[in-house]
Amino acid sequence: MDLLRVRSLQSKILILFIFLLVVVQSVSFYSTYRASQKLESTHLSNRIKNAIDVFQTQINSRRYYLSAFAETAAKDYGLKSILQEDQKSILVALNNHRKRINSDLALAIDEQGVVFAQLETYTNSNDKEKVRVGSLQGKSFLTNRDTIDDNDSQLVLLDNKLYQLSLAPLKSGARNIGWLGFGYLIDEELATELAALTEVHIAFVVKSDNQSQVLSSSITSQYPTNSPFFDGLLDKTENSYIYHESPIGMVDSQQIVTLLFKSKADVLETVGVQWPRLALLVLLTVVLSVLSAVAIAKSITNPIRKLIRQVKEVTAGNYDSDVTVDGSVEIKQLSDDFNQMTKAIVLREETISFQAFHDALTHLPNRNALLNELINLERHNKDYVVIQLCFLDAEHITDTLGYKIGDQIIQHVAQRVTKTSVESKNYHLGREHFVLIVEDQDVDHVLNTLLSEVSIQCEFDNISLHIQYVAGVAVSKLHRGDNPSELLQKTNVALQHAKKHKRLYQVYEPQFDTNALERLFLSNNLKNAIESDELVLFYQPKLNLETMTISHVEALVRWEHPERGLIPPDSFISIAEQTGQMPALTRWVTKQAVTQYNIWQQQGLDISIAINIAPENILDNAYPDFVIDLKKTHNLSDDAITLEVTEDAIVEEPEIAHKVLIYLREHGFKLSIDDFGTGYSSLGQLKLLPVQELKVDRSFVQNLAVDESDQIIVQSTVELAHNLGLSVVAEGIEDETALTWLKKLGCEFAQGYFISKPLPPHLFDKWVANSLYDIRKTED
Amino acid sequence: MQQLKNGVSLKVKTKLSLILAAVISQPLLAIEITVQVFDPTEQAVPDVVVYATPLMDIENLAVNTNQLVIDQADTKFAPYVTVLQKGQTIKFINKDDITHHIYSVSGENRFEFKIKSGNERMTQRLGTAEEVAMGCNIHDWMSGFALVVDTPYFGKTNASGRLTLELPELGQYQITVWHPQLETDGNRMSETVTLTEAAQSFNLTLPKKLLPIPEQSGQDDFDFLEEY
Repeated sequence: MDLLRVRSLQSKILILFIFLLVVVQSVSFYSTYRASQKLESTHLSNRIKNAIDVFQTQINSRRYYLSAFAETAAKDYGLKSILQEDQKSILVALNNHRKRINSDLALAIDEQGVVFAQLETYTNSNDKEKVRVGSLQGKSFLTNRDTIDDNDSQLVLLDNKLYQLSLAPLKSGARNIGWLGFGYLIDEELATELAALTEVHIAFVVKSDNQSQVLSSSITSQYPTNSPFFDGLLDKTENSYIYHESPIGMVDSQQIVTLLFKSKADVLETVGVQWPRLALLVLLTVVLSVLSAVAIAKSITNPIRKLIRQVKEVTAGNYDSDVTVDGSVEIKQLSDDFNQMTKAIVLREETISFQAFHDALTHLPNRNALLNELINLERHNKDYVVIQLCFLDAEHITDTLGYKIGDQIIQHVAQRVTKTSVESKNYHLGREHFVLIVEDQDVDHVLNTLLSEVSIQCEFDNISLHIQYVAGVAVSKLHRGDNPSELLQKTNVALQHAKKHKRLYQVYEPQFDTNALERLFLSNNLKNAIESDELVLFYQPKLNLETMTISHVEALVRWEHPERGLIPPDSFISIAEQTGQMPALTRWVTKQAVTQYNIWQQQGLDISIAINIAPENILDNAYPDFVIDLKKTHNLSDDAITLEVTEDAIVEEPEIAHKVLIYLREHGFKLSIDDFGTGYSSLGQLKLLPVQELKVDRSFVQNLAVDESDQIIVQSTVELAHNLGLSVVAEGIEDETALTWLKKLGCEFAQGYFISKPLPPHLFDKWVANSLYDIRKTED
Repeated sequence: MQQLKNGVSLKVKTKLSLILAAVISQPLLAIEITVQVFDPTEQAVPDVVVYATPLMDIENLAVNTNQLVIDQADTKFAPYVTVLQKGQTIKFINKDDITHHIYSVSGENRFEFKIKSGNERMTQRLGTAEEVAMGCNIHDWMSGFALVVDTPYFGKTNASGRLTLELPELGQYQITVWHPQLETDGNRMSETVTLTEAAQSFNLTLPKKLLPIPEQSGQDDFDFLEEY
């Protein structure tokens, strides 16, 4: 329904009003219409009934009059006696009596039924009423004398004129000697007269079996008696008229009826509902009602609209103005409640705002407040010093003493910080980090004062704690960056530096945080680098000390950054580890190594390649299958690929590492323990591992020529390995002495700058060509 | 004498001597008086009955022997007004072609009879001096009047409203004017006069004009009645 789609309250009210209005008006109109119809019909029937009554009364009265007179005249001796006289005397005497009641017909009938005197009136050419002898004179009144009823009124049709006739017997003594009769015409004059009395039209009609003939009517001037107009009335098919047939008697076998009729329109003219006036009334009501509906709708919606406007202002953050609405109690209640709500919101907003800019624990302004302050200071070009103060071992304290004590300590520190003699604005970044903004540019003085004042000995739960602090400092004049928050970042860098170097405080220096920024940068780009082949593999040869040939190399990954040039692995391997990119990196390295292996094979060089795999790769279920698939795909011989695993990987998850290594070994991979001696792997584990090789960490090898203890370690390691059936690779050979020493010791392989630094493939090929050492060739 | 002088209108007085002079010149065998009747507008009134009644005893008062005849002609009584002496009869002659039924039903002189066309009928002697109002039983419009008086000296004024009566002797008389349309008590007006000379004239002025005589017509209704 459309009504439901209308959203505006005002329109809804309006539509509802109009709808109700239409219903009420319709009902009212309908009932008026019905009442009017009823009234009309009642009026019509009343009118016709009245007309019939009047008509009947008139006819009866005439009948009575005629009949009484006829009787009286018949008993008049004078008249009676003259009837035996000559014709002329009879006629004059009869006319004399006729004139007494001005009848239109006078009849004297003898006992045989023969009319011996008949007088009838007519209107002559001079429009004067005259009397003449009628056509029945000398003839039988009716065929049968018996049909003459004594003293009865009847209708006769003489010369196509209808008379109401009353006959009375003439008697001589008791002997009936004839009849005397007087009659009135039933004609247009009567019709007109009765029409005037009854106020309806009147017609006299002769009805035979199947034919009706209008004899006369009160509207002859309008419709002649033969007018078809009467057909409709007589057939009862004319609907615009009301009519009634009142029988007044019979002539021979024909029925004489009086037709009373009137146009309904004429009848209703006097009583008819004045529709135009009613329509005007309805229209007026509708207009008034619509106007009042609009007014009501407005009176309801205006306060709401006002409310909406004011609510919008509140939404926009303007809490100052109270919402005031003149309206109904409910609307006022709503606005009051709304004001209450606004106040509550303001309160909550203040709380939120406070919380947004203050630390929940210490109630000191927080980092947001600090940033705002920094922006503010920058805007006013102020010089200031930002000090990030941090107490040490916070994490340790929390771990050992619990959060409650941790929080108490933080609150305590906050108090100390705010109570120092240093003029500062104090902020709490969270946990152990506090920031102070100082305008005093004498950094050393400020820091010394500060640190001495905040440093305290305190007791919590009977535990005595000496809270120590470290601070990072940035000076706006010197370290101002592109945006205010950079200074905070710089204090952070300085703080880390101070921590690392165990200093009480450190003023920021630009070189501190290049690495940090670089790491950030690298982490973002490493993934792209792997995908876009910015990485390259460098190969460092391993020298077989027994044969003095090169048969193995270790693949080492390098990043050739398009802008930064060659990036060393130390910088990004750890990033790859931290950012979960090791699986992807190792897969790339593995594929690349296999590709290179195949290239060399095609060149006739039989060089096994060692790949470093990270602990993640061991724990990554998919990597072993990946490398096995690769080996199968390229149909590599066993020991073509050596997988170098650090001790860490095995120490972290010994059981899984064990399973994986066995699995790999079963599939023909040579396994090597990398950086042996730096981790904590037990000999027991070593014994169980399916490895074939140990790589002695470079830290033991680099100073082998001069360091006796290193010699002992290396010697015992080599012996241990050999006892376990493992071959040994010594990394970090930097001089011939070490090389010779190792060869003498029976170490299988040597690797280091003394032999060659890691080389990219094309340089490696050159190196091979110019090398002192033989290169293992493929057998064919 | 005094009475007479008083009864004669002042207007007449001057003329009277001239008239008397003329009368005196007549032989004294009979006394004639002339009465002229006027209405209040001084118009002479014709066809009114005037009679003189002697107020003194007169021996062998004359008896009028003229037969009064009233015709029924054109369905009217003709004449309309007649006068006769007590003891006389009235003869009705039906000159119409229709039958009439004449009657008088009031007073002592009642009669009633039909007269066929052309016939005549005589009433009985009318013995009471009074008005006889006549009608026709079957023709309502017909009316006629006959005044029965107890004196032989009567007549009707002529067209100029004048009537001359012969009286037997001088003396006191009551002179009466009567007409059915005279709206006075008894439809008459009387005046007592004393005759001192043989010929005297009296002018009588009616207090009122006569009412119109009712229409004596019933035949107009018919056309060609003659045919029947």
